[in-house]
Amino acid sequence: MSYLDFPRLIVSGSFYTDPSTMDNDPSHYDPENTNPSPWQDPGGSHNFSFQDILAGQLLNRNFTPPKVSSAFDPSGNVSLNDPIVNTEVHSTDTPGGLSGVTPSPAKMVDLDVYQQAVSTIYGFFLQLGVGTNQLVGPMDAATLNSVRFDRVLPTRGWAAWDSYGAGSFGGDTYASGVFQSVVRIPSGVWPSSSGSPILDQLRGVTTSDSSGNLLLSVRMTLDGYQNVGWHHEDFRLGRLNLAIGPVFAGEPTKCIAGRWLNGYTVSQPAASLPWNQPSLYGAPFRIRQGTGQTATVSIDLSNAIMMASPGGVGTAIAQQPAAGPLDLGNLSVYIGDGSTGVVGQPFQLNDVFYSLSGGIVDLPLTPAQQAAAAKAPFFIVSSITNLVGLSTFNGLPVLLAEDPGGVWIAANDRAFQLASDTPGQNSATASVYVTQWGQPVTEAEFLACGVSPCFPGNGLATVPWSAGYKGNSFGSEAAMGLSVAYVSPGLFQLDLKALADPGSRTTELDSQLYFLCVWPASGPPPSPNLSPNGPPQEALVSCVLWASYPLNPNPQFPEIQQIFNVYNKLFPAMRAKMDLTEQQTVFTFSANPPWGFFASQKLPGPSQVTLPNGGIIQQGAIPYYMSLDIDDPRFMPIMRNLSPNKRLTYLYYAYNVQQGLIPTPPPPKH
Amino acid sequence: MYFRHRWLLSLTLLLLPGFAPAQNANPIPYTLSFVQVTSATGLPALQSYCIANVSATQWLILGGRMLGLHQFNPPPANNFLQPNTTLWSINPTTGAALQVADLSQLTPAVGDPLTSTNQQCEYNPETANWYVAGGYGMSRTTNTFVTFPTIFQIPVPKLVQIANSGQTSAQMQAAVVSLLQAPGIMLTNPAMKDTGGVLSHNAAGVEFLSFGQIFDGSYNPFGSGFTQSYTQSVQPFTITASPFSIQPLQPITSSDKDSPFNRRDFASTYDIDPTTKQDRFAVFGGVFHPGAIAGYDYPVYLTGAGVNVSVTPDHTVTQHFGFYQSPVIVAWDGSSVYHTFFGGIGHYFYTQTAPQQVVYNYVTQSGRNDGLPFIEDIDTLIENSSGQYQEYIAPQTVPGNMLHGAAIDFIPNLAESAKFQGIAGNVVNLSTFTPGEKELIGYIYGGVEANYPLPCIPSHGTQATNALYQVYLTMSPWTGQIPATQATEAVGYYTHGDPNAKTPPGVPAAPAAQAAPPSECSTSAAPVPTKPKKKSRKKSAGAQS
Repeated sequence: MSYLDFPRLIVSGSFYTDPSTMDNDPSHYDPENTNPSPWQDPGGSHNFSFQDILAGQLLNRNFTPPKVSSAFDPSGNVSLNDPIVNTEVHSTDTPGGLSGVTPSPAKMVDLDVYQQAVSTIYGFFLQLGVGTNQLVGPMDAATLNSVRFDRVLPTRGWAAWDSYGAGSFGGDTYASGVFQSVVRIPSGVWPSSSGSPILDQLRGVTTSDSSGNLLLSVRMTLDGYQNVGWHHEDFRLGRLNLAIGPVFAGEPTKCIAGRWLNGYTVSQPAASLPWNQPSLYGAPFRIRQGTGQTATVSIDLSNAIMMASPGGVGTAIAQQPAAGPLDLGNLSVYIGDGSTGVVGQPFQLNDVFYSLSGGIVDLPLTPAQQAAAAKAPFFIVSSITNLVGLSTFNGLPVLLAEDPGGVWIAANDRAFQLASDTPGQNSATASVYVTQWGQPVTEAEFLACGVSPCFPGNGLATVPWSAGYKGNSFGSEAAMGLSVAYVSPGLFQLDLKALADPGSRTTELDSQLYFLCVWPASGPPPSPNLSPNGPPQEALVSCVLWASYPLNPNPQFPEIQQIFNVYNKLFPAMRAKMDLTEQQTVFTFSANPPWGFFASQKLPGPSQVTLPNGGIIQQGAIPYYMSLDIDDPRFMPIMRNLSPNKRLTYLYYAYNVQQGLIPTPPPPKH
Repeated sequence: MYFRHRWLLSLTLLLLPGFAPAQNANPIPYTLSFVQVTSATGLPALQSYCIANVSATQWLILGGRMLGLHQFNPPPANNFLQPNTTLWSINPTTGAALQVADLSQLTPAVGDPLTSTNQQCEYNPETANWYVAGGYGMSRTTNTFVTFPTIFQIPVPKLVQIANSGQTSAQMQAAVVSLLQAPGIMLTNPAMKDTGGVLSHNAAGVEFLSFGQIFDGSYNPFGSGFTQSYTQSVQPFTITASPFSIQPLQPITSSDKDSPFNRRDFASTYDIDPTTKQDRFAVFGGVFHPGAIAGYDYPVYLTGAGVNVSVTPDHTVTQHFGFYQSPVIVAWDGSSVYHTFFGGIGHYFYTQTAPQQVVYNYVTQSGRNDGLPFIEDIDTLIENSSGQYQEYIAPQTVPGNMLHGAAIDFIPNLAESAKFQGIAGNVVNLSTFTPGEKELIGYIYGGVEANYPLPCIPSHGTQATNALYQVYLTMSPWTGQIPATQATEAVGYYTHGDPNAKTPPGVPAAPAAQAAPPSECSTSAAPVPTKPKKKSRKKSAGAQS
């Protein structure tokens, strides 16, 4: 049952990330736009870290190192005294998780300019432990889910003119979202006696992968992110809430195959609503059977709840709203018609709940409630009565409620890049988990699926069509193929196929974006162009289909320059290190240094790459970084926004440089 | 507007839904009795102090003050004279007091917070650590009064070893200085900047610094040169004992329009939630409602043994007593929980001696009744398993009709620890008593002593006391209880010096020309006799029945 099960560790603190904002605007991909606006943080390097990378550069940093704030034993009893509690949790910020090598933090990048809600963290290594028993392992690339931009109560009100950027340009300070994945700990670094009884218990119940790595389920809820530079104390920092639990055989790694409470959400703007009207997001939950007749429902409200004030960890100012959960009074969980009474005890939202319980509430179910839960929806009511427009139960507002039919669809794999012109990269599969009342759906024909190209007016595009949409290329609608098949109880497989060249939106946005939707076949399909009603994020799969590019084994620099131009334009931090549109630079670093240099530093990476024409590359910094695995934090391009054939075309250029086929360019002119 | 509200309130008390309508003739199955230990004359007069109840024969005490209520004089007058700078070791069974060390000799960074007043303190016998957070006092570093942003983790066994060593004063002083100035004893964290709040914890070890205020500058509420803000929150945090560190969480605030967290200097105690039978921390009373000279008349409860914590004001009850920090004796019979408040400050009173009533009426008619008189009544608030309340006034008062009880807590007798239960071992478990059994369950020590319920001269007429009371519990019904609804509401009319202020209905009108002080006030500067005097139990005019 993943992080929702026990033993469970909760980690609280700050995170650092600095995704460049230059690539956030579609108009920036217009070749005619040679001087794109910077947005709030153009100089970011897309790092994602549990360390403050700006420490020492800016004063009075409000960074709280992530620490284990609490630990739950297998029975769900919390401990604040286990030796793992209050130990620091790190990202190693090095490739391969190795110590003593050149730092290269994990990278967080968007899938597409029009789909910035599935940002993915690549190359993250988690480190935790007691004393010298430090567990280090890679996290499978984790994709943002359940992102929302109404995390914080708008204390001015809900009218359109009240938002004023919602805390920062673009509203990032008011955003939150979830990354769920697994961390693979080599068994050799996780002793059975680690110094922490609860860590030992976790080791005892979790499963291993085929390589013998012990698996940890991790869920990071991130919020309070500040990316406006004049807030130097918390610039590029946000609040981390990390839950760690076991992984059991057969369960998904990046979603919860369980149930879902839909949160009451304010559709903004809503000037008629009182300022204190809360807006909530949905919450996954599961029922865990205990011994005998006992059962517990675990509800992850970490991303569902609203915060009273923007910000992250740290001390609040007296009489000012704290950056903790918004007080919603006593929350009571009920099932069905409520006749089986309150599940467990009412609970409150506060920072003890958020930071020590991970925003997860675990409540015991009576036998009658267990029976009711098998065929009726859960819902949560608040004791606060001055809310308007909500459905009520016993006169109290219902803040969250399960779908009346009890169906929940959760996509485990949610972001893809395919290319029709590249064998091996023209198809993929995605796992989708389907439950009803928490039980696996066994009806083979239960799901229907469909493809929705992200064309103008698409309801799921995450940014406006600021440049005026370009590139509804002929045939792009039919370029993406999708089918769904039943695999096993609760598990369906989506087969993604790149059927044809989708064309480009601009010469610098050489792909098309597709939203791949699934829905119960017995129900209506999503609205055309997914507007106004698209599927929930949790059930949505997004795919970038690269425009075909003719592979050129003998490219000249102008072609390479054209390939790198958009990367250079939209990633100033890279340009500051290496101008990839400057011929002398590219020439030099296409052949230097020999890859033995990297090997001498014991860095993970290839010793050589063999091209389709049989050519072997063994030197050059640029080809080295462009030959790394996409999960390597050093992979180039950092934004992972280069089609396979463009990347390969460059590698041919590098090979030709190394073979002396490219003449040495003249010195750069400045 | 506030006083009109209060006046209306007094007429509607019987209709409040939180009170069980039925009145039991003997609602309290046990009897408390309070015996002043008149032989304990060597004890220091202290109020608002920190105590570590180490054993049946040893208390360690620091902080607090050795005078009565503070003054309100403008600068440069010092309104917080005579802080207690001594670390005391007191044996309640003998009345012996030992000056272990002069904490003013510590460095300012360490000594100033430890010699401040109204710190938030808790001794945890499980870890043997004594935590002292915040407090208000003089900073020798800045030469100003401040609320300290500090927390100490004091290893009590080492202090006990020093106090019981038989060493000379100089040797003890040196040992205490060495101990308390050692690295890792004190932390500075803005989350700990608080005074008049309370420190508590739950079974999981989550700590709570609840309510209180931050006051920087000289106490001169009607003047300037200071900043004051109520924390209006519960500050949760966790403690790592070794090496000592704290991890503050975001404060818990309330969206309740009545601002129930805007309180300080309240009565508080661990108790049992009768509706769930789980441990709970209860806060009763406290001052002030925002913008009003009014105490809170309903409790706030901290519940949750783990990391699912609730802080809940209970608006279903309107207390008559327990409006200010005073001893609370808690008893539990498996179904109902009983909270007995010993004197202190209330918004209601039942008993006043004739001289007390004369002064009370004089002050009221002078327009200085702030609605929060010192009282001598002993009151019990009962909460049953349905969450319903009853409140009764004991037929006995504080011995000698003394106006005692303010600014101190109840101290359980550890010799009878088997009679207690709860996370802090302070809840009397009535099931451990046999019928008729009588035990010394604890003590009440020190506090503020008032000459009269209201002062003849504003902010005068109080002092710290060294009174020591033994508290006995006898397992037989406490007869003669009087429904608290029969108490008199202290409806005065505080004019704030406004000659045009109008008197609300039901409130004694201030005479056009202020009456001459009664003869009682001619000696008001002197403390009332400590010798118990003959009780003159007289119900005040206007008392409701």
